[in-house]
Amino acid sequence: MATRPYQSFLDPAVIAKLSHISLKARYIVEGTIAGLHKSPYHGFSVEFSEHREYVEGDEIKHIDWKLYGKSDKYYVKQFEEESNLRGYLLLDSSHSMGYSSEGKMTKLEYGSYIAASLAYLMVKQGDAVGLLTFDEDIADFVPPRSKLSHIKVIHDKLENLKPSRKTNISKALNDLAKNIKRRGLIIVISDLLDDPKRVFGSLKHFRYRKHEVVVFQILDKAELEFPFSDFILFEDMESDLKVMADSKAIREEYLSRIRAFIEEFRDNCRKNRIDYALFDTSVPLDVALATYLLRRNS
Amino acid sequence: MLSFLNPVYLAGLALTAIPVIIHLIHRRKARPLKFPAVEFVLLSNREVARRLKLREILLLILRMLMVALLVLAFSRPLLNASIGQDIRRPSSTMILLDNSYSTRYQEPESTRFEQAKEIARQIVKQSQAQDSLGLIFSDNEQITTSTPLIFDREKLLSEIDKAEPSYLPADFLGALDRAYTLLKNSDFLEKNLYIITDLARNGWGSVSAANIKFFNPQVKVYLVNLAENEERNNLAVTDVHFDQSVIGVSRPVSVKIKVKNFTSEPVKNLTSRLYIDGKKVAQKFMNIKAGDEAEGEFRYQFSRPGWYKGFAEISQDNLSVDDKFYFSVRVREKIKVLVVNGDPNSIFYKDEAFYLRYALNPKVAFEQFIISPIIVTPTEFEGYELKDIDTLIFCNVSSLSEAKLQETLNYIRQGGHLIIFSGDKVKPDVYNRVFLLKFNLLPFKLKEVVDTAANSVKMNTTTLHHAIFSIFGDEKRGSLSSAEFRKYLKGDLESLQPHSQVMASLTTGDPFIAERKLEKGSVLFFASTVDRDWNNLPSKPVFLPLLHQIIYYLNTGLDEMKREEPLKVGQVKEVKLDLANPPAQITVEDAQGKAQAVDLQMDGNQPLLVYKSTYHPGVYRVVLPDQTRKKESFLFSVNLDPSESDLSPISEEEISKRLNATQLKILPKSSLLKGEPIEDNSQGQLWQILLSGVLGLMLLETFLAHKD
Repeated sequence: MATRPYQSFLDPAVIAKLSHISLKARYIVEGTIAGLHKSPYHGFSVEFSEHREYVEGDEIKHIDWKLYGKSDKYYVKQFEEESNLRGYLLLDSSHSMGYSSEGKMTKLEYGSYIAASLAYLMVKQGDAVGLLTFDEDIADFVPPRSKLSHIKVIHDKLENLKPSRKTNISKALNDLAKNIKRRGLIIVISDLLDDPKRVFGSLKHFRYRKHEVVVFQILDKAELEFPFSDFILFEDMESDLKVMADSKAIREEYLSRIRAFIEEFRDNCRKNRIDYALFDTSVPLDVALATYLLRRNS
Repeated sequence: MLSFLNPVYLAGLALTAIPVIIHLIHRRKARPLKFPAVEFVLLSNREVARRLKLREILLLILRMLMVALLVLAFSRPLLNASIGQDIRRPSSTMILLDNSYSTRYQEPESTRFEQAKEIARQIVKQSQAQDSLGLIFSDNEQITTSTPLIFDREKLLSEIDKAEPSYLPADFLGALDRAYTLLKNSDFLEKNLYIITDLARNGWGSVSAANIKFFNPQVKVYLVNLAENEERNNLAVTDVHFDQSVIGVSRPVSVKIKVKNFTSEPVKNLTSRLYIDGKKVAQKFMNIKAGDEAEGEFRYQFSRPGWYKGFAEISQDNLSVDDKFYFSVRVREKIKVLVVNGDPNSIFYKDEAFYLRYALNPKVAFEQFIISPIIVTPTEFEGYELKDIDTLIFCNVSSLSEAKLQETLNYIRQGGHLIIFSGDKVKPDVYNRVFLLKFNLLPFKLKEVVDTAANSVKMNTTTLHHAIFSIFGDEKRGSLSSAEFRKYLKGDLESLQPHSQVMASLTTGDPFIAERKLEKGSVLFFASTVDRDWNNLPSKPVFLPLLHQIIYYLNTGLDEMKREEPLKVGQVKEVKLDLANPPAQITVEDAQGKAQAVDLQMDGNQPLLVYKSTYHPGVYRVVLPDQTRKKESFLFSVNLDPSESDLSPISEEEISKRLNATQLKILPKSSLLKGEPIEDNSQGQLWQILLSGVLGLMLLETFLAHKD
C-alpha cells in the first residue's frame, strides 16, 4: 500500500456522508447503555490508559505512587474516558485482499477505508475502537481507545499495511476471542475466501460470548462478475495453485458457485444474528458504507 | 481398390495436424492472471471440464476430419472396377472413334488417330467383365465395319488395333444413329457412349437428337477431344484442273492449282509443285491470305500422247494427307480427219466443207487444236489411203465406188469412224440401196427430205442424253436448241439397224444424229447439212464444240466426254464404256495398284462400270479388254473431300446442346493416354461426397463451437 497521510483515509466525501450517521451497537453490551452518547463523566475513568511525567498543575490524586516507589519519579495516570462501546475492527490483510481488477482500489485499500471510516465514526461518538489485522495469524493489534488521537494510530497502521500470507480468518478470530474480556462490537472486514465452516464456527463463538458481530465481505467486481472470456491460467494469490481454464466456458458455473458462497454466508449470518454486508470495490465507498449504516439504523 | 486421380494431394493429410497444433498453441497461449478466488475457478473448471473436454475432443476430431476429407476430395479418389465384380451395375458402352482423315493430324509423338486408338483401348481395359462394348467409326461403315456390343474384350482390342484412319470426312449423324441403335438393343440399364474425336466441325452439321432415330437421353455421353492442344492450322490443295478439255501433244497447257489457307495467319512463299508420272516438272511459290483460297498456275507441255497421272502438292504441314491433289489426263496426238467434200465451190461460203474446215481447226491465236482436217473431193478420195485416218467425214457426198465403200467399211470395222452429213446430193434411194443394204453404213433407212421452211425445226434438247452433249451445261444446251433446221433427211426409225441408236432428235421427233456401231468402229449419220444450206447451225457458237465433241467421242471414248466434279474418296465411279462386245467383268486397279474385277452392268444398250472401292486418294486405272490404238485403258483420279481439311472446331457446349446431353462429360485426353482411371458417374463421384461431408462437418463444428 502506498504511503499516504492518515487523513487520506478520511475522504471528505466519505466523512461528509457519514457525519450524520452513527454506528450503534445493536445489542446491549456489558455495563453500557445502548445508543450513541458521550460519557457524562468527563475524566472519570475506570480504565487506566497510560503514564506520563508529573508536571506542575496535575492533580496529586492521579500520581501513581507505586511507580514512584519503583522509579523514584513522579508519574500521573492517564485514564480512558469510559465508553459504552468497544469496537474491534478485524481487517484481513492476506494476499487475496491485495487483488484489484482494472487497476483500481484493492480490496485491502477498500477495507482500510472502511476501517478508517468506522474508527473515526466510533471515536467521534465516544466509543473505543481497536484494530486487528490478520492473515494466517494475527498480524497486528491496536487495543481499543476512545481518544481522538487514537485515530491517527489506527491510520498509521492502515497505511503501512501490506497484503501478505494466506488467509486464516478463523484462527484470527479464535485468537482474538481469547484476549477480549469485555463484550464489544466485532467488525470483520475480509473477502472471507476461507473455509466457510471454520469461519462461521469462529464467528458463532463470538456470538456465543455475546459479542455483536458485523461481517463486511469485500469482493472485487471481477470476483463477483467474472468478466473473462478467454483461456486464462488463473494463479492463486495465496498458494501455488494454478488452474488453466476456458473462462467463457466456466463462467456460469463460477458465478453460480460464488453466489452460492455469498448466499451461504449471508444466510448463516442472518441465522446467527450477525450483520452481513457485501461490498463491491467498484461501488464508491461513501455510497456503500452509508447505505449499509442507514440500513442498519433503520 | 481405391485409387486416386491426384495422389500427390494425399501428402496434404499431414495438414490434419494443424488443428492439433493450433489447439496446443492456443492452450499454451493462455494468459496468466493472479486471481484470489481460484478455488472457485478450480471447482467450476472441474465441473465443466468433463463436458468441455468432451466438446474439445469432439471439435478437434471434427476439425481434423474436415482437413482429411478436404485433402481426400482434392486427391479425387475412385473406386476401380477391378475391386470386385459387383462394384457397379453392368453397362453397355459404345465407342465412337473418329477415323475421318483430319485425325491423321500429326502431333509430336503420334497422330491423333493413334491417340484415339489408345484411348479406346483404355476404355476397353478399364471396363468390367460384365460390361458389353462396341466399336463404331465416324465413317459410318462406308469403309469400316462396326462391332456391335460384345463381351469379348480381346476381340474388340484386336479390332481397335487393326483400325486405320480413313480418307473420308466424318459423318457423325450416321455414326451416332448407328451407335444409339446398337445401344438400344442392350438390356442393360446403364448405357454409355464415348465419342473420341478431334472436334473438327465438319461432320456435325446435321447432328441433333431429333435426327437420331433411337436417341436415348439416358445414355451417358463422354467426349474426348483429341485436339486438346487446340492446334488446328492447316493448308490444303483443294483442286487441280487443266484449262483445256482436250490436251494435245507438244502444246503448252495450263494447270491450275487451288490452295486453301485454313489458318488465321497469312502464308507467304508457300512452295507448290507439279508432278507428272512421278517426276517433278514445275514449282512455284504462292501467297495466301488467312482463311482464303488462292489459285496458282503451272505451264507444261506433253511430249507424247497417252494417259498421264500426276499430282500437285504443297509443303507438308501437320495434316499432310490433304497437301496433295491427284489428277489424270489424256494427251492426244493429232486426230487426222479426212473430209470428203461432196459439193466443193470456189465461192468459199458456198463450199460444202467451208464451215467444217474452220470448225475443226480454227487456228485461234494461243490455241492449237489437235484435229488436223484434210479436205478432198470424192474423186481424190477414191485414191486415198485410209489407214492413218482417224475419222472420215462425208459432206453431202452423192456416191462413191463400191470398192471404196468396201474399203471404208473395212476401215470402220477395224476401228475407224465415219460421219455422214446430209445434203441435196444425198439421195435416199441411193444411200438406202448402197450405203445401207450393201455396206451397212447407215443406222436406218432414209426417207424423204423434210422441208420445214415455214416452221423451223430445232434440236429437241430433252433427248440430248448422250455423253457428247455432256459439256453443254443447261445454258449451253439451251444454245444447242437455238439452231434452226429448215430441211433435214427423215430417217426411218422402224428400220433402225442392230447396234444403232439415236443420239439426238429434232423437235419433230425425227432423228438428228444417229450412230451405228460396226465391230470396232462406228458410223454417225447427221440428218442435216454441215453447211448453211439446210440449217443455221454452223453460224451458232455451239457448232465448233459440237463437232469437236463428236470427233473426240469417236476417237477417245466416252469417259473423257464428261466434265465432272472431281471424284471424292468414297464416291462411286460410274463410267459408260464404249465397247462393242462388253465382257462380264472389267479390271480396275486402285490407287495403290491393287487390281479388282468389277462386274459390268448395262445401262440400256451401253455397258456401265460402277466402281465403289474409291477408298484411297490417287489415280485409278480401268483396264479395257479390247485395246486399240484409239481405245485403251484409261485413268481417273480420286481426291479427298476438302470439307474435312477445315479443322475449325465445334464446341463441347454445342455438341451437348445438339445431343440434349444433360449427362455429357468431357474426359481429359492427356490423362486417358497416361492410363489414368476414367472417372465416370457409375463409379461414384466420391470427391463430391467428400466435399459434402466437409460441408456437413463445418456446420456441425460451428454449432458445437458456439454452443453455450
